[in-house]
Amino acid sequence: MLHPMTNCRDMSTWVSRSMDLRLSWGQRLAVRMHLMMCRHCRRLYEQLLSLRGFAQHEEADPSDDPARLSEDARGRIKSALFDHCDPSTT
Amino acid sequence: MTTKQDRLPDDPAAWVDLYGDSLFRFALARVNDPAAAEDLVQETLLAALKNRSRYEGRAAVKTWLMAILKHKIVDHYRKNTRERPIESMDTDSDAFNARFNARGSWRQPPAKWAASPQKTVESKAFMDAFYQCLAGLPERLARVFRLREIDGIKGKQLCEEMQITPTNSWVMLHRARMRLRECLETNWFEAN
Repeated sequence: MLHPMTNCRDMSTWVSRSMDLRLSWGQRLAVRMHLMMCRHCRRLYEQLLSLRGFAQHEEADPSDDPARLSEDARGRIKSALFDHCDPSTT
Repeated sequence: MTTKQDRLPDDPAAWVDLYGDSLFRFALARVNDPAAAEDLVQETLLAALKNRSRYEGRAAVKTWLMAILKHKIVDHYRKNTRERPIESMDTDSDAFNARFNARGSWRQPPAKWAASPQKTVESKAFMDAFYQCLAGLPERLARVFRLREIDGIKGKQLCEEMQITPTNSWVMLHRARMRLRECLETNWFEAN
């Protein structure tokens, strides 16, 4: 059974694991209690969650000009797609 | 954009009109070169065409295409980064262990990150650093992280894609996250 007093090094693996699967009730409780007691691990957890946010972020930077694909590029890409289109799959 | 009703248009040419500009803007922000960004959009849509049967409608079309583009961007960065010497798993765990003392307590705890995550992603330079760090991870670690966090793949499917055991997947994800975190701490949060 995972103990809240498990050291931070090992707890970091559980913190990461909790982001990938549903831990058992006991494990969740142990991780949560450890995070309540340990501000370093709490910060680690927040930062690992932020990494996920960064990876999922999909807007281009708002400060940028609203750049658009040129007509040229648009045509080129369309014809490339057309060339690779397998009619049997559509 | 709703997730449920989203449907991939049958005609790939429509993808260019519907999503081309968004993809282009995102690519351009990462590579700073219009020609390279156009190529990335094209590669992305060609990959989407090839894998269209894999689009399950779970995510919005735009999110699905963006995920493909992000993989292409990381590949693009990797091509332009000098190949790093292959690090053994030993040096890898050494760097990790160095942050803890013999009893497993933090010797060098995570440093505070200055801005909020919402504020951070708005910074172009930060997102550049993020993709640089991601591209700098050892290939397998980068891949497991990308599949998990960009594509949202987990569990059995993740293990099948990577040909690894569940335990291995947790170990690798933990390593990838710790290294990526450390890279950002060094190259972004401490440098700025």
